[in-house]
Amino acid sequence: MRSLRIKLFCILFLNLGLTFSALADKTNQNLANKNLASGREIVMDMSAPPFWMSSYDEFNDLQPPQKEFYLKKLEDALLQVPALKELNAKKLKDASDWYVDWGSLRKKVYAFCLELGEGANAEKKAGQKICDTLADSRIQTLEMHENKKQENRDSSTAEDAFENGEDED
Amino acid sequence: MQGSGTLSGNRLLTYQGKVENLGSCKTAFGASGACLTPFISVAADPRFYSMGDIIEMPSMKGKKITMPDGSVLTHPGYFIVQDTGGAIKGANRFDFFTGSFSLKSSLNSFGANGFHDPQMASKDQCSMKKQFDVVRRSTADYEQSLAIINAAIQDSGMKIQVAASDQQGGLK
Repeated sequence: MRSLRIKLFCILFLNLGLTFSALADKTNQNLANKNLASGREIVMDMSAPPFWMSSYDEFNDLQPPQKEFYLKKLEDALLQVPALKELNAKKLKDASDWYVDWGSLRKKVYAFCLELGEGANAEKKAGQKICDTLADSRIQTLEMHENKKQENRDSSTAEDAFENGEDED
Repeated sequence: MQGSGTLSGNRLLTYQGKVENLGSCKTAFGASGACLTPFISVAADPRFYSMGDIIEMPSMKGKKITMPDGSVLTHPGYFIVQDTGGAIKGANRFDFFTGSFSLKSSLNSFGANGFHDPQMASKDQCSMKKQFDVVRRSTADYEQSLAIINAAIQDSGMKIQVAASDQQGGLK
């Protein structure tokens, strides 16, 4: 009787083990299938450089003239991103008022620029130029409101002079 | 060091020669659009930093800094990127906004003639006290770091808030 119980227990345990194993295989297959279906997985950390487009928070903090300037620059450049061909000035303006829509736009830009990678063919070079234009537009927008004091305008000269011991005042 | 070009009547003379109304801002606006806070706001290269990114510099924590308005700030050990500058290139260069204090003012804790301990205008580019870390905007630690900065400013008696919380929260 005891040996029968042991046998039954072993059978049950084995079956349970096989069941979990099957489930695990199914789970792994789902993961594997998911990866294959989507192709190369792109990891995007948009809080770190390169900054192809301002985050919503960065954009939202800008002064009105900066926003106007940036939106105009963005509109020109974003229309060249394949995923954003349907974009227009109104849609862009609407997106600028809602962080969810802005974030969606931004993700498409980053996906486009990241997927380009390094490439020598004409299409990739054209794409890289668009991304460079986007990055430059952001910097130009920020530089509109740089704070500079007259005497420190050439701050590198003043500080280099100090560091080289040339400024002994 | 970068300071403010304030005129009478709460107006700002920008380097482009324009006169702007500062409104409630008592210092100057930076590239980010935010009102700059002395000894808290820094300028950085926008290729490496988003406006609003926080720079954690542990060596600064607890240092007593005299502000241009006479109040004393117990430094929280954090700075916030709110400006850019033509000469500020690369990931390891920052310009510290010191308000109306010039580089050579003896009252400027970060300046060439300030007290050695918090001095930033140092020939020693790689000193331990300049080691820093970056708290990126919209990351998990960001809100806490921002709260620490605002608390330090409030404790000094200054009635300003360095930046509002992120609208995006944890979204990237």
